[in-house]
Amino acid sequence: MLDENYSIKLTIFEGPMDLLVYLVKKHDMDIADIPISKITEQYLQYLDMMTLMNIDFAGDFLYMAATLAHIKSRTLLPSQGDDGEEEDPRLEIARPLMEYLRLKSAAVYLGGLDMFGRDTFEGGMLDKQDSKTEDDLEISIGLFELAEAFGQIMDRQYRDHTVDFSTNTMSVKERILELISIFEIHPGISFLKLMDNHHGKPMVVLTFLAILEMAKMNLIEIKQHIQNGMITLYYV
Amino acid sequence: MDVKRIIESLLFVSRGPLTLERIKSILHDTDRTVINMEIRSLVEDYKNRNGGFYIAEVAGGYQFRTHPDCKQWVTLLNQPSPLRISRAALETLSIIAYKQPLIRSDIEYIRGVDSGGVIRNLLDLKLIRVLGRKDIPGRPLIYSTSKYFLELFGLNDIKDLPTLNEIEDLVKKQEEPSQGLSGDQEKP
Repeated sequence: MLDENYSIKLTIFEGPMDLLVYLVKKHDMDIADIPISKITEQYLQYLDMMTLMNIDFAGDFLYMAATLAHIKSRTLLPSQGDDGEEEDPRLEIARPLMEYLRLKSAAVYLGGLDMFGRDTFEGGMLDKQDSKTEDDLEISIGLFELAEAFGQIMDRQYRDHTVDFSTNTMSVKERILELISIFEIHPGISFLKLMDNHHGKPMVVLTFLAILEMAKMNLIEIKQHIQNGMITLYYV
Repeated sequence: MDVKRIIESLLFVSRGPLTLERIKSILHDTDRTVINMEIRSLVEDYKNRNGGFYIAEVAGGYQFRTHPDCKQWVTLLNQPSPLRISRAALETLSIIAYKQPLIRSDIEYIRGVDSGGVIRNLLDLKLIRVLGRKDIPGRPLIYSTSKYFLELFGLNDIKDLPTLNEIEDLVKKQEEPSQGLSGDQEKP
């Protein structure tokens, strides 16, 4: 049975306060003088409707319903005796509601300010990459994707599980310098290609360490193609 | 060498707001008041020039920024990485901005809903930070807005935000002239 009270477009309310604000606005109520039985009734109707439509709502909504009912019952009772300065029980809900509305306005205000990175920019902020088509999108990747790629390379190429005890002839630093000279010729080079050399396991490990080190120093950017998963390193 | 020219060049190459202290550390022979005066004069120059960019005074520093008026063309040059702040996040952020320092339950008391997820999101965005723990049972974390918050919203100091009463009037004026709600209670 849907009477006119139910013919409202259903918005998903984030919480009981949101719902209360909606009801107050809809029925043009004065927060300082909330018609408590009307709002309680409207509120409960709304909860009924949410139940009817199988929308799960959290206990917060029920707690608010109980609070409203409690306030309503207190307004019905005659004020007790000599204590003349007993405050309006409706303030229990009016006060937080006002506060909530004030902060909602503050949120609207903040959202309307000129945001850095949305409305205003600093030099160089927007010239990072050329515009690319959707399919050509590359994402910056983290350590885990890179480590996974490294694991795959090790799995594919070195199944002999021998250990080489010969002293390493090249340091990470030297390998970085080598890589930089490669990058200077090819500013973008695939991760696989760099790792794919036939100088043995120590060299692969060394190259990997050098890449990590370079990424840490912000010398290179590591990106993965969204479609084919290719990891490419860019010299910056 | 003209101090003003040097400061202008520093601002030009700097990433992020450049503070007076930082400029002073470079121009150590120059008096702080002189530096301050020259910056002010630069800020005025760019303001009067009314060009495509200006010197923003944010987070206690100075930074060249493009004029918001030019946004629609500037973003054609390249799409900025989307800045998505949800309504709930903005709401929570404004609560933190106005009530800081505060703990999670303070936020939830005002919003009336669980806010753990939103808070984590704001922490990830670096818009808020943890100040410490409150000395009550459970030792909950205390939150406040970050320096990046100031940068994002173009504020020099958190005190630059208008008061809640001022905002209510502002927002009321600009967006809901016909609604009978909100604010009536404040009228004398």
